[in-house]
Amino acid sequence: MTVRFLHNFPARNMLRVVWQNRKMALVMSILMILSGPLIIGARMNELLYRNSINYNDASELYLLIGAVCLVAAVLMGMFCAICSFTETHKKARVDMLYSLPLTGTQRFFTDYLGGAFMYILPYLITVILGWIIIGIGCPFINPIRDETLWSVVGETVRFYAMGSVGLFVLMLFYYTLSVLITVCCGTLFESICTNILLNGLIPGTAAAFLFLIDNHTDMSFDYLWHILGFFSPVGGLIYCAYLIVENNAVVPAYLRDSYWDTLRGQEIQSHNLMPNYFRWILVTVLLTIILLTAAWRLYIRRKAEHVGKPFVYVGVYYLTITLLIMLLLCLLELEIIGPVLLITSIVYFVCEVIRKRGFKRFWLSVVSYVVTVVMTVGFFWFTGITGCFGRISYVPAAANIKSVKVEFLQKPRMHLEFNDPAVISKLVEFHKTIISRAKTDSDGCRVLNQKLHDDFPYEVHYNANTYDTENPYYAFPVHVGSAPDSSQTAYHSDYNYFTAPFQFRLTYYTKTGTVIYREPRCNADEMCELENILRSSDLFRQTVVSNLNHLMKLELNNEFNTQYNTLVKSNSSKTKSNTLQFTIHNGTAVQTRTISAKDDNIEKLCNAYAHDLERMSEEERMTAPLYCSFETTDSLYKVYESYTETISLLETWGFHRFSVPERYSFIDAKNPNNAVAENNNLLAIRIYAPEQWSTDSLKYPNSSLSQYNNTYVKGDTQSLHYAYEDQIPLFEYNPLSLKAYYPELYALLDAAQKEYISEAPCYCIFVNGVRYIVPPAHNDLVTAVVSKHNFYGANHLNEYFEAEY
Amino acid sequence: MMTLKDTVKRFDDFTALDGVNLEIPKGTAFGLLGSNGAGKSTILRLFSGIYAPESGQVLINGESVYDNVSAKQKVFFINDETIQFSSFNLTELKNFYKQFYPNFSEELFERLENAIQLPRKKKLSAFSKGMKRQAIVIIGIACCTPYLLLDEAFDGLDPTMRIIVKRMLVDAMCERELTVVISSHNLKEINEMCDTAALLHQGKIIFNRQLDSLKGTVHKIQAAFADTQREFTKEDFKEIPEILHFSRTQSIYHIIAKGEEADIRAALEPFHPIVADMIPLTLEEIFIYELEVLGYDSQVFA
Repeated sequence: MTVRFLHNFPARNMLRVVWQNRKMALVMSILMILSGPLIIGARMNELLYRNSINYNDASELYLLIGAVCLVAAVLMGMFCAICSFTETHKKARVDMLYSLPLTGTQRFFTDYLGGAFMYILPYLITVILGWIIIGIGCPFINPIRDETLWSVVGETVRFYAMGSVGLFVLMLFYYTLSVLITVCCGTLFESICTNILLNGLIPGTAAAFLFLIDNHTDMSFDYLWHILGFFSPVGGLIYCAYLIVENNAVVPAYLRDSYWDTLRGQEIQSHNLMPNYFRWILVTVLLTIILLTAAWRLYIRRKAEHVGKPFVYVGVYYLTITLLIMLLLCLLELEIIGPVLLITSIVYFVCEVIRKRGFKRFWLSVVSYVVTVVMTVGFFWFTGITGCFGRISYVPAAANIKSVKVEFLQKPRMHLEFNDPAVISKLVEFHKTIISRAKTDSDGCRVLNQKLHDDFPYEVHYNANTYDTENPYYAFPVHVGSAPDSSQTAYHSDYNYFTAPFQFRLTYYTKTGTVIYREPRCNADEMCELENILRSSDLFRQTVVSNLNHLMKLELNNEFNTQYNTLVKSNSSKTKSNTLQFTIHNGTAVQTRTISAKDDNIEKLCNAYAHDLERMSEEERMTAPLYCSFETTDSLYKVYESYTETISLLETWGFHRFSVPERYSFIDAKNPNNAVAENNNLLAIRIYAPEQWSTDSLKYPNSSLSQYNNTYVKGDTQSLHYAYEDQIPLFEYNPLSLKAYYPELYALLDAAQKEYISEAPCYCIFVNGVRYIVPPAHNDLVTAVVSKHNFYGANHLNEYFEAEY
Repeated sequence: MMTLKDTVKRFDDFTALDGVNLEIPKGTAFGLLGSNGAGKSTILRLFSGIYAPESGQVLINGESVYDNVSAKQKVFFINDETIQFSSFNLTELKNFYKQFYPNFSEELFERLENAIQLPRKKKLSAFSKGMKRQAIVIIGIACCTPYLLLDEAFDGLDPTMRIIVKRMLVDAMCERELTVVISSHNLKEINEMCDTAALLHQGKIIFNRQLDSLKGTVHKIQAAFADTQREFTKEDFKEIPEILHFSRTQSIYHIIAKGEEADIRAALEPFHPIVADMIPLTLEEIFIYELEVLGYDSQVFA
């Protein structure tokens, strides 16, 4: 059969397709052939002039023009498909082409290959031109410092090879999809519209849906382009753009160090690039083959008389319209039913009128609209109840994992990649545990922590209108029934504990090459559990110490930490400092000392810190008060009271334990940090009552105030309401005078802790916006302050104390 | 031989051909007649492999045509439009078809082209309708296929060119036993070109006969009878095999009837005709009277 097919296959007819569309082919060829030399030329220009003040600014413009030409030429693939398959939408061509002695298969592949030839040939030319430019440019590039020629151009060559193949595959994918859509349509209008809509809607709807999941679950789609690349050609184009950024090859350095890094929002993970790239190539090729097969089968099934019908295969129309409705529903998030239905119905019926060229059998359109909306909502619902088809609760088996990367999204912005199977097992178990805590209760709603849920004194009824069933973490407020004062909406006794304010990213690299991203939330206790797991590994200690060491040395050398600037400055003489301005913090208090770098002080500090980390017991981790911290832009290194070796070293450098006046130095109105005190001569103090004193059945000072917080772990619990507040006038501008004029307040501040862990309810005091926790043993100090200064609500407190004690 | 066996072709709800059986022997000049939408072009498109039948068979020399390269190589179809050739010039169009038809004769093409002198380098979009028609006809003949299907092929040709094209076709028929199937509303052309014709109406074949035989079996009779007082009706002439039309002007009766002349005269004899003239019918008259019987009557508009 193959022989017969080839024997009858008229190759010249393929050229006929090109010849008949030669005007379009010419425009596309010009755009395409320009793009390669412009892009590669701009890159080579950057390499040639990278350390010269005569850097050619026009490179940026050439790059932009090249990119625009390339994208325009690539997007014209749609028109190549439509123009090659003219018999699908031009009645006059049907008789001519269908009567030729060709089978449907031969006719299809004649058109397909003719269009592909017209589309791909200019691309191949531009790729070759690009290689020629690289070849010509290389000898003129001067390696500097430790560079080799290959280290300079290797990245460009690697990218160009990968990009050329990737774009080739992508173009075929796009062209084949366009052919499939064209085969399914019967008129030129529908062919063009459906091509544009579907190419945009497939990645658009997928992105909107993924964002919806991302917003409501702990699944992470920060790497959206990784996923979108598999969905459609346009998604693939986005992925290619990502590869360009990821590979740091074409984009000029000054751009990638600022704009592109911001765009990416994270560090380059080049180790992950190649497997992803080849997987993407493989999947795209497979998808292209599937689409080609589908297009071929549909083409030979389609009849000559179908030309002129808007849609020969109406499935493609329903796919388009369903994706459109789905996109609208994703964007509107089904929160406002009336407008959602209005907008979607208008869009749907307009499409129906266009398709049917009128209003005939319009009731069918109404029915199909209802079916489409119900199906789409049903799909959302099914996705919700199955936890994104089980993906939310999916954790790969430890045995299948090659490595796990843990990234903290808050300070310290540390990321660690573990290969140790023992640590991987612990992390997997930990992840499973925090997922299992997000259980489903009898009402079909999930809660994060079943124990807390069980202990909650109220009978909980989630309000379907306000409770987001897709997100277990925002299950508040809840409606309260059969409980004390059941007329009110109540909040759980430990809102912040329950709502898990901490988030981190887990990236599983499996042995099969897949990458799974998750961003679980957890509460403060669970965060401690995670830290304990991490601290059990040598890698954690090494990374902390290494980062600390690196940051301090960077500061010492006053070095720029961006690649571009490093390269630019590399030939200039650099004055290395022998001293380091080292700063420690405790709250707003700061101590700075100048340390000599000659005596390996940095090494000593790092080693001491490492030893302290190793020695720190779990109990100390949970309870040790903060001594101080070192802080940089991205990292925060805490020194606890248990870090004796570090503290000892710091003390030899002249640092001392922060005194009360130091810690509260911001109270000094002369302190520029104390804007409130300086401008108003006032000290703003707010005191938060412990939760158990403030349930509504008891004597909460003001029933309109809500109740939060009782467990203060080493984390940032936040409160919105407070029990007591007042402002104390500052007559003297010396913090020491605080002790003289306000001894009760001074004593309270002295007793308050920046970080404190307790099972018992605690007062919390905010002083000019800085929070401290008062250990329960010092509740009398709170009473004294409140009583003496007649805080708002103090009378109620007195009444309460009188009644209780 | 081209054959349709119980062929049904539908377009959505419309049945274009309803169980049609037709055989066109090799070497025949076959005319397809019929009302608008009767199914003439559909038959041509079925024979050229453009359409696939819903049921039944469409065969050329015993081979199914649809999606069959060897069968399709035996057929060249010229439809009633020419816009599809606009982007070609004559040479390009010739080269385009040449690659699909292995028997394409350059020599024949040259001969035919020389006869009508069409510009070779000029785009067909610049040709008149008649010139485009000439171009595609000479290419169709030069492809040397055993079967040539022409849908309104002479439309747009001037009288001189009609004669030239007809001569070309006749020559091809004589030289290589070409089978020509012509669909046309121009009955005069069918009459001139074809030896056999089929009449179609509403997807069915009304008749399929040799034209000479057809003309011999349908007669127009003008008769007057001795009994002038009597008013004869159609029912009085039951002996006449089939009366297509019956009317009276004063004492003269006009009858269009099918059958042998002798049989018709015998059927009239009992009524003592004073005059009974048998006038041969033109193909156009046969077309009109046959369709009138089926309710396709120009009088409905009157």
